[in-house]
Amino acid sequence: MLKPWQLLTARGWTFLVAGVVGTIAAMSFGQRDLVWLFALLVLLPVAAVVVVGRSRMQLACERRLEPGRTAIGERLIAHLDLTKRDQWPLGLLRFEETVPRELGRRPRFTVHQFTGEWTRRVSYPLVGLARGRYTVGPLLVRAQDPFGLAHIDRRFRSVREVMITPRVVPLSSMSTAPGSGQSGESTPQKIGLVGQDDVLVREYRAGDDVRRIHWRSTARRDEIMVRREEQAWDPAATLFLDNRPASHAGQGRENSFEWAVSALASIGMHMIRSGFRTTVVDCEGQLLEASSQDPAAAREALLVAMTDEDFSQTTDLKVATEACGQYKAGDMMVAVMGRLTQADVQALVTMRARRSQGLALVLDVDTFTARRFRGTPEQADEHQASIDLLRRHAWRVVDVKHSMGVDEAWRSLDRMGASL
Amino acid sequence: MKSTDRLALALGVAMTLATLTLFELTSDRGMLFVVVPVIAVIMAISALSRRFGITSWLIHLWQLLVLVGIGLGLGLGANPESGNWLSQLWQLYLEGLLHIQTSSAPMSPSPGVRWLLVLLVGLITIIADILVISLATPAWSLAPLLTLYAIPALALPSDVSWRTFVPLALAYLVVMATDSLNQLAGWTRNLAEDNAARSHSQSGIWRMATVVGVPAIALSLLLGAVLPALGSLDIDSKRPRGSGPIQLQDPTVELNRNLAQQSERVVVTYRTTSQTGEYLRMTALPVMDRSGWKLTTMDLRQGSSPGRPSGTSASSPTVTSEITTGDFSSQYLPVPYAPTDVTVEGPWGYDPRTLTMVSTADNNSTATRNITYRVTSVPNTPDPAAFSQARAGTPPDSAITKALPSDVPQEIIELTAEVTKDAPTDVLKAAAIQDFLRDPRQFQYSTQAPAGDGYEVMSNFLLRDKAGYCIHFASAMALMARIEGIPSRVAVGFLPGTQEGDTWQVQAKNMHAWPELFFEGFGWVRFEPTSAVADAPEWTVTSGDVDPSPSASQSASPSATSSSNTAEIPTAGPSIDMGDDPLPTEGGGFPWRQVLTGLGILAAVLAVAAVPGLARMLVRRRRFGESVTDPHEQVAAAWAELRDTFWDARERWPSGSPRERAAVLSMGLSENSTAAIGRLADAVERSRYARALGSVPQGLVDDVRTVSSELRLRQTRAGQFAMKWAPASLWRNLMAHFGR
Repeated sequence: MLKPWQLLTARGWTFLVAGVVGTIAAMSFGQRDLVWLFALLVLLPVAAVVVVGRSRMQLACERRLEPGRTAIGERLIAHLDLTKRDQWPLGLLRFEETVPRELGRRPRFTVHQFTGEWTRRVSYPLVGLARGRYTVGPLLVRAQDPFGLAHIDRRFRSVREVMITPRVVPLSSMSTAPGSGQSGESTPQKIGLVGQDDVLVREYRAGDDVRRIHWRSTARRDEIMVRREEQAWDPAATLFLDNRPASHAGQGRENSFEWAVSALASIGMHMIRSGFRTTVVDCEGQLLEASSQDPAAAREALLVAMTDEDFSQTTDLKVATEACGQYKAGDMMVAVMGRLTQADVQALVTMRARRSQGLALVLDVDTFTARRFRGTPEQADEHQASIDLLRRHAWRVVDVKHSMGVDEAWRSLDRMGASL
Repeated sequence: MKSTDRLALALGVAMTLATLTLFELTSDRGMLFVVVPVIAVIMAISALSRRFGITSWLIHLWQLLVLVGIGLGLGLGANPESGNWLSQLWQLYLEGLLHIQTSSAPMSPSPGVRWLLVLLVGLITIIADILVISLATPAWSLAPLLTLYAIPALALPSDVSWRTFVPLALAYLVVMATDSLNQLAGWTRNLAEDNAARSHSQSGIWRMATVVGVPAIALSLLLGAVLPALGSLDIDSKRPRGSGPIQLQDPTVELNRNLAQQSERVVVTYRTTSQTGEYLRMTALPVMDRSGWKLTTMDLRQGSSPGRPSGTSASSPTVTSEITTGDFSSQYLPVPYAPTDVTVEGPWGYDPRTLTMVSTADNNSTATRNITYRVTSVPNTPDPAAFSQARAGTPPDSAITKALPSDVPQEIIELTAEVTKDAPTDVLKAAAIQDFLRDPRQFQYSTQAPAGDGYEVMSNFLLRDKAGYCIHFASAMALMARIEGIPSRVAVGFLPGTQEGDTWQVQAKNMHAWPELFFEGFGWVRFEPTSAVADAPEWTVTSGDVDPSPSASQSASPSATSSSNTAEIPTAGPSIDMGDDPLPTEGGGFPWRQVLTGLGILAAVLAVAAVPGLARMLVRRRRFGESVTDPHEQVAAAWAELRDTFWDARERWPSGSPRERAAVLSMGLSENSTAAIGRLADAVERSRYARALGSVPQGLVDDVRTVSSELRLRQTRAGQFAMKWAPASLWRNLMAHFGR
């Protein structure tokens, strides 16, 4: 418990000191009328301390969040239920919810009801301004007297955790880029479950490779049938996120890194939903190996990993290259890259190694930031040259501008596949 | 309702309440009908202009212009004489000033005073508006309110009534509570839903303010009553010290009070050789001017044996009286007229002209309390037959006692001529005046004074109200005698009282005033125009019709109108200097000295209030100053200054290492400040932990300034004011210093 004098505000102290000095002066001059006034100045802070000190604040606070997590830029609503059970009605209460700046302004409200018991219910919005995990609360409360002479601060204990995840965009299925098998009709899991001869052929469509015609079935059906696949492959994808600070530019939510994280999370979700064994790698090494988990847990793990994703302090891709070293059959490579250098291209090429496909979303980071923060012309030239080099190594590369959505970039990859 | 509207409304209410304190000074209740609209207009200008976001100084200029306009309108309306408007205003101003100087509180209504007070209140309202709304320091509204309160509190010799204090205290609390209300109203933000109604919460704060404020006011009244007064501040009067001039108190003040209270307390008992008892005379008021009858400068002689006065022969019989006073405080000794020899303890002097005995002791206002003394006196009882032929004489101080001011109202002169037109001699004229005043069909005795001021009192008494008490009867007779050319003065003292066995008992309500007229060969002769309390002396009854009033010695309660307990004070001049200062001072007038003293005290209070801010500035100057040369100390000083700045801004100073602290502090600050705090924390770490600090990093002071200027900018205006003049760090450092 605070000592009474610790409750006084500066104004309260001023009143007390001026009142005592004035009372003594007025007494020594025999001015009773002034004694009244200065005695009032003394008594007001004293009364204020009594009022504030007595309000023991037997308050109960309950906090609910709807929903418990949200994507960056989205709103969520918090509900507070306050209940007071006390006979002493005095003290004006000011409440402030402790909310990190990344969730918006701190909500505030007051209670100055004269009754001893009351309940109060307030709701306030939270906006996820930055990715991450945050605590909401504790609720702070300051009781003061009606004249601003004394106050006492208290805090509740209960807190809630909020997760602001990266924005996950539902991606469209595509035929050329992997995601749900080549045909777009059946999922790869089904392939191993049914008999080879019957199912593994289908009618010829324009564009099918002549070498894949299954002559035996063609003869039997009297129409040209093609083999769907030589063998059942186990689809797998390795996703790489370039999280070096030097590769990215921009402020806050407009940072190119946020775009990259959002893209990686979206692609990862898409891959897991499509049954791919998904591995996520960043410059620090392997982040996630989603093969052994069921899809729901894998998606959750990916979302948490991407929520916590932050810049790495490494400047090269050596660790990442090692992490991508284990090749599995049917594996493909998707990289989300920032500003590129020739060395990065070499690393990427090494990473892909024998993987069937290499897809790259290369962000044009200069479009994510103001003109004065852009890289040097030499950097821009090297970036352009690196993209060209990557394309020459048979990567499908999309040059992503700031205005482009994740889904749009994904679809350009698709179109590129068609044109190859 | 915007917060400025709310404050403006509260200020209007507060100023109206504070105006009530002025009714200690003036009885002009009608003033309220002018003052309240003026306050309302000024505050309405403030509230409306602030809604439109007009700059403060422009608002106050506008208020001032409106007040000047109101002043012009009121001034010209109150004084509808033709002529130059400027001279009209000047006349009104002079009239108000004169009224203030010549009347004592509460002043009777006067257009000049009303005009001055309205302008005063208007000006103070504008100052309050500046302090409370423009500068956002509502606690300082005490200053303008105190200014209004200090005028009656310091100026009046007696304390103001608690009924005056309560509205003032309420006014202040209203402003403070409104400020809290505004703070709370501005607190709520960023809510999506709330189940509480707003109006409900407002009434809650007022109820809480009542619960805290009203007991505090009641207790402060109680405390004021209980606390002893250690001394007295009578800033109006010079204190008698050594052989300096003696202050003479106005005896009529005591007279009015005693008559108003009708106290039956026995104040004097005496034995006398006289058969009929004696009028115990204290002093005489010889000066007559427009403000009434007053004392004059006395020429005091040491000793207590005035000797025989002129007009009495050596053969006249003497009367010896032994007088004992009780609980009665005065500097004048009540003695039978005319004293020739007085045996009394203590230093006393006498004035040979008025035959007044005055104590010359240091603290002479209680000189007559509980003393016993013996007086030998020569009663002046002229033979009626010889006396009726007497002519008006010329006393030694005829320059005063015969002087008739030129501005005596014509109607009184005409009345006097009418009353005395049949009387052939001066004495008979005097007797005619006395008969006129003693006529119960004409005049009623009443402890209620006639209305008005100066000559108006006399005119109202003689011609209109026709009711008053002894001082009015005596003043009227003395004035009318002077009009007839007879030197006159008003004596103040006691009636003979009632006889109990062989002693006479005089009660406080027996205090009395009567005229003394000077006749050739007879000297100063007592008359008695107040029929309700005493018979006429036999020598003044010139015809057969002795009026049927009750005998003097009974002197029961003179009339039924004893209910009034606020006697008007018809004369001014509670004190005059004797010796040095031949002119009566303007005591009882408007106490400029007190007001100036009040303003001085106010300035002192302001100076005291500025001490914390100045001390904080000194601390800062010392930390950044040249005297700190050790690099470690410089770094520590800068870091301490940063901490104090955060405290001043009412921010938290987090715990932890300098680096952790810097991280917490930087939250919410701009990049510049974040970098500055980082540099400071770095310097502190190096100073504390590194083997050698080397030279002090450059720009340490600038870094602190960068942070503090940003912190200041983020404050509200009130916050900035508090940051500067009520630095929280000072308290915390002091507390930490003395806490250990």
